[in-house]
Amino acid sequence: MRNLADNAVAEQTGASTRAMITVEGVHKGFNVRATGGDDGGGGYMTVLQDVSFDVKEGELVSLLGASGCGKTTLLRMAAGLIKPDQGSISIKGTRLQGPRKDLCMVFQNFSLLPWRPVLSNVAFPLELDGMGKAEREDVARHYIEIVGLQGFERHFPHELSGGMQQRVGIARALTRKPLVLLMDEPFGALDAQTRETLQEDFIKIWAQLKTTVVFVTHSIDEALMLSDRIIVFSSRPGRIKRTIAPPFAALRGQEDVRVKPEFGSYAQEIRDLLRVERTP
Amino acid sequence: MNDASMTEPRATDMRPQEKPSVLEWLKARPNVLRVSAVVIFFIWWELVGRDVNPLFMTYPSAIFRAAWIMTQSGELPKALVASSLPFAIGLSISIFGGIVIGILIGTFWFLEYSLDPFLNALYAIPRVALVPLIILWAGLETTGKVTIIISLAIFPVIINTYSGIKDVRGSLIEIGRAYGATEIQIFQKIVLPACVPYIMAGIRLAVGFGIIGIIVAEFFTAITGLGGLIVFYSNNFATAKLFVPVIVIGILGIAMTQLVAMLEKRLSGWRISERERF
Ligand SMILES: Nc1ncnc2c1ncn2[C@@H]1O[C@H](COP(=O)(O)OP(=O)(O)O)[C@@H](O)[C@H]1O
Ligand SMILES: [Mg+2]
Repeated sequence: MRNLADNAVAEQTGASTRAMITVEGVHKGFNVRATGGDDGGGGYMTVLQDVSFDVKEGELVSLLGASGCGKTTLLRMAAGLIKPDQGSISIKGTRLQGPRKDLCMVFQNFSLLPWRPVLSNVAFPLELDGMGKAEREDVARHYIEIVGLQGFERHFPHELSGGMQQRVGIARALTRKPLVLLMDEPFGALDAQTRETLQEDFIKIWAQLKTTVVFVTHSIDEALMLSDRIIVFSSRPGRIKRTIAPPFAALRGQEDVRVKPEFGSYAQEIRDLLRVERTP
Repeated sequence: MNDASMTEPRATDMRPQEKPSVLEWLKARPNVLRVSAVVIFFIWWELVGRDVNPLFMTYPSAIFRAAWIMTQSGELPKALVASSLPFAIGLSISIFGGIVIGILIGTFWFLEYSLDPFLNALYAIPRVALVPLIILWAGLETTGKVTIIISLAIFPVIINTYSGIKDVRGSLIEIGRAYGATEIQIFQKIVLPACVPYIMAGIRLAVGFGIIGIIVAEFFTAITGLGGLIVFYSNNFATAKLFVPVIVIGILGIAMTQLVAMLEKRLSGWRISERERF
């Protein structure tokens, strides 16, 4: 186990060494009602404890952990939607104060505007920026093509399958050419086949754009296939258990890394890490 | 074996189709039954109506004749205009004012809490009970009629707009926040469009209440308009003429409701088909 963890230090990615996101000593909790919450009791519930890591420019980092360990909360903090109770999050050295237009989010439940057709859903961020209609629709069409949805510009979200809706979600996030793509279990709500296709296509898209990606998932395989580095969280309160750099990053999109013998041992290591927590 | 399985189902398919074929044919064409039912009803009414004392009942051809006479004399068109103008004004104010008030109380807690008791009280009182009071204050003319219509029609618009604003899913607003929308943009581009189906449902109810409002107003004033005609001819036991404004109101009501329903379908189609999906 030591060996695998040490691999993390040996960088084998093309990512530059400049930190894009720096998370330092973040604590976060919520006041929960006595009736709400899954442990029955009310009061203050710590969700994330002393979380520190950074994500380098051009890197794809996965946050992996059991459901409820605070992954979404961490991502929402990174998006500037909520503030940490303690600690700080910085983008290229600038402390985050609120939502920034160059951090774009892809949501787990797709979150499209149901009354808008695909084209204006994708153009939505640029519309907020005040870009003219013709210009923003040109940009939107470009990204609709990149995610493979040309011909569906006039369709409404409810006329699309889940996989296609998430393609719209990805295209929307790309229109601003964001510094960082924040993805919250983007393929978690899809069936296995659709999920694989989207994973493959996403890797191809990402290979062209090379933006920094923070990718939340609870799937070990997905994390191993996609990531430069995986940050494994304990269950609630979420703490970083270990950071792992799987050696499959270079092969992404070229072959199915799941058949590699090392894949199994990495998956087993992570499974063990997650299991230790469950039986105290 | 292949042959057998090919011919067998064909034989069994034929039999059950023979008996209910007429009913199946009718079921597939609902308008045939609808039109036939209405035609039969009118024929029956015509035949039976002729034998009843004309003081109490009338029949279609007499109504038709009365309508012709009332149109020729200019009485019906005049009444129609007299009713339509306050109806249009009252309904427009109800829709516009209702949306604005609904948005305000849905957005600002201060207004919500302070206006709540008044809205609830007004909503609970049967508004018809206030009609004499309104007439006392606003008179028998257009102002009075408009006020009565508003007193009835504005509430469904206010309440629907308000619940639309309150029901906007948090996840929709979060899209705006995540993409750095200003509060005004969130309102314009997310909250308001999400409310459109609610507002349209409110408008549909307002049309119905508005029609009730104008007729009730004219019953009380009993001078002008379609409601005035109804009162006048009922006092004179001219039953055929009494039916003319009733039928005109019915036709107008159906036309208005259909129009709003069409508009509603266009504007909130996304919501209906979204619901069907799940
Ligand atoms: N706004 C909130 N108020 C109260 N509790 C919250 C809030 N957001 C998240 N939580 C709680 O924090 C915990 C972690 O949630 P989340 O970050 O969504 O976990 P994950 O995405 O890893 O499944 C959960 O128990 C959840 O109920
Ligand atoms: Mg989550």
